[in-house]
Amino acid sequence: MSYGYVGRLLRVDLGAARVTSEPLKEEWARKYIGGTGLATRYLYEEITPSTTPEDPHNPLIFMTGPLGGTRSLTSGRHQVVSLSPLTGIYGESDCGGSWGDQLKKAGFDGILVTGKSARPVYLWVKDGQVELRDASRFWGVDPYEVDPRLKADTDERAKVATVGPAAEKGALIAGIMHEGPDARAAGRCGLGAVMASKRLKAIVVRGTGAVSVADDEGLKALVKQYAPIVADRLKDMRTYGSARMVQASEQLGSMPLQNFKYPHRWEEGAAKISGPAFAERAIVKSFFCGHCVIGCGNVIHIKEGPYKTVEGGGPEYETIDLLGANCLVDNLEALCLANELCNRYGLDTIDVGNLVAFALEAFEIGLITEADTGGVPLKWGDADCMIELIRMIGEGRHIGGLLAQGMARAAKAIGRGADEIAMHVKGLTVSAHDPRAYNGLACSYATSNRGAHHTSGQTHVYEHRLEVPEIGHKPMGRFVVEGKGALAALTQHIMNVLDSAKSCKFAQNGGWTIGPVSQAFRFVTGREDTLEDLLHHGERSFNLKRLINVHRGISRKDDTLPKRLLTLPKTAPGYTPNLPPLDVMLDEHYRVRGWSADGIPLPETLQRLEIP
Amino acid sequence: MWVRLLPPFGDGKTWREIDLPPATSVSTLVQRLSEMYRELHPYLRDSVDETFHHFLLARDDYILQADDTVEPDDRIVVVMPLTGGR
Repeated sequence: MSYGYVGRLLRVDLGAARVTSEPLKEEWARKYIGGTGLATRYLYEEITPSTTPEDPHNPLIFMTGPLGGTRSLTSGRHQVVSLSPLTGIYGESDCGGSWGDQLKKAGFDGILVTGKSARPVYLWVKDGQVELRDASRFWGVDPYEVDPRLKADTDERAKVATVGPAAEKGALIAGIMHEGPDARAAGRCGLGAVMASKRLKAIVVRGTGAVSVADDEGLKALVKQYAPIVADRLKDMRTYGSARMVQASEQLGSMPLQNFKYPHRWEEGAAKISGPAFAERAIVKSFFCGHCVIGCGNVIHIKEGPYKTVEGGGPEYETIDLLGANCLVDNLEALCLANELCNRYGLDTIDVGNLVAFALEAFEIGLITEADTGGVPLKWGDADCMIELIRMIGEGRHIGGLLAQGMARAAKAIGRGADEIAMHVKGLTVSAHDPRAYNGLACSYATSNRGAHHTSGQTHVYEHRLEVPEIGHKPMGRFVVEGKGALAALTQHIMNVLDSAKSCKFAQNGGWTIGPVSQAFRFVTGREDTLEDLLHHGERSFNLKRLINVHRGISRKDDTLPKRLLTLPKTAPGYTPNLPPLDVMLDEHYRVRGWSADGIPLPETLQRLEIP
Repeated sequence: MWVRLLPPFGDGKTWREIDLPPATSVSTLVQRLSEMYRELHPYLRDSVDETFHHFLLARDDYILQADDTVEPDDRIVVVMPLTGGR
């Protein structure tokens, strides 16, 4: 096994209550790097085209990358991969913090969990020792409360990944929460629902080992060169968190407003929930993930009033814009409490924000009534109403039980045209970046293997302002059409590399882009893969995910956007009334990828990428 | 030309007029802004491109690039950058 990998995979069969350790497949690590790519390769091997997300054999895979556990910048992350019960197709989520770092230092590159336990259990991993323990007394306990209890049961310095009560009640929009009140989430695709269905309450890890690096002096020099640049360029994120983007989002017309239908500007509202407002009224300190010099995580504390919170991870940009702007809620303190509630229930805030907005509009147009909401009238801009809806979702009460099943199921169950106001792609709700403001992002959302998620491509950043000289990329403008299908493909490959090696996507904005990451990869592993080789690996990962989805019926018909985002232009003053010409971009995207006109990878493409 | 600074650079509300000739370069505009607003000084860097890591200049929903020019009737908003979302 090359440097950068521990070389061991932990395999957990919960049905048999059996834990085994096996060598990491070296050939797969070479072709798929680690993280998302390697986990996907394992997933592909474990499932058949008929495996369903609900099947106990559906594996839940936690995978680190070769950069994890080393001094490489922003490398404390890990990936969680499975078939998604929310969407029925490929599912994944990238998670920050330091849990992944600890896992590698404990002696494992990844954990593959199959089966279903007869009773609630948790997995305790410490320096090569592994134990399945009874978790009956922790079942139903929220992530903030269970974190210290699990640490008391194991090691105070351990890192905890856990599901919350919503997942245990069967919510399909449940994520996997990490590190207690610090609240690092593998939020997307309902992976918490997979974990809870296996009766696995938590995975607790503690490691004190080291990861071997081929050329640590070279890596050290690279980090020394880039760390101060990244830290300076993104220094305001330490002060304001990712909320620093809120007002730019409003200015650029990319802010989701009133379930993506608001016809006006929302400058005053945006100011009230902006980074500076958070810094003044809520943020008490910043939070750094493993090996990070940015510190975009903010720790907030609302000390008094109706929206009082504990001290813990504050709402990120996506949360603020979707639970705030998208519901026309401009109450900052309420957003802090809403975020804490989602974290405690273990819910994905992007899904919840979209679902609350969906419910508000459904109520507005009479698709649901007070009979569905327990007598609560739903109103745009009403913070208490937004919070009550979150409680309903988290506890499965009234309309909340249906909303917890995700946007596609909720819209289908409500019927009567509810799908017209359901903002999702392939069952995954839309992130807080309006694709009408970025044509490339529109193509990226439509073709993302997990549904509409911004970090699957980060295409908007590349078309808007990020220059990446090492790949000859210059931003071409948000509303340009030609080249955007190709750009979406390129950025999806880059994100697959970053999510495989494990490096934070925010750091790209500070200069820690694919070039230096590929250098770090070579220093860490001692392998000679060029940047082009890594992009080829990223392309392979992307196509393997597509193949898994093709086996589940995905094709061009699914590579689309909600009707509203293709037909309703933004007409507020100062906004370009753009509608993404998706078909044109898809044609280009498929051509560049070597897919058929229907979006199926051609045999020669699979052969070129050595996909089995 | 009129300029407005969003927080933390300004109050977000006050438009202030700047007298600049037609086809003024963005670097000249940044220079003038730095003379007018001490609040921007901590964010200025050696080049306009580098400065734009710390604030952006928006003309409606268009973000000015270093090689753009501005016109007397433009209305420019100074805003913190967008970095992709988490």
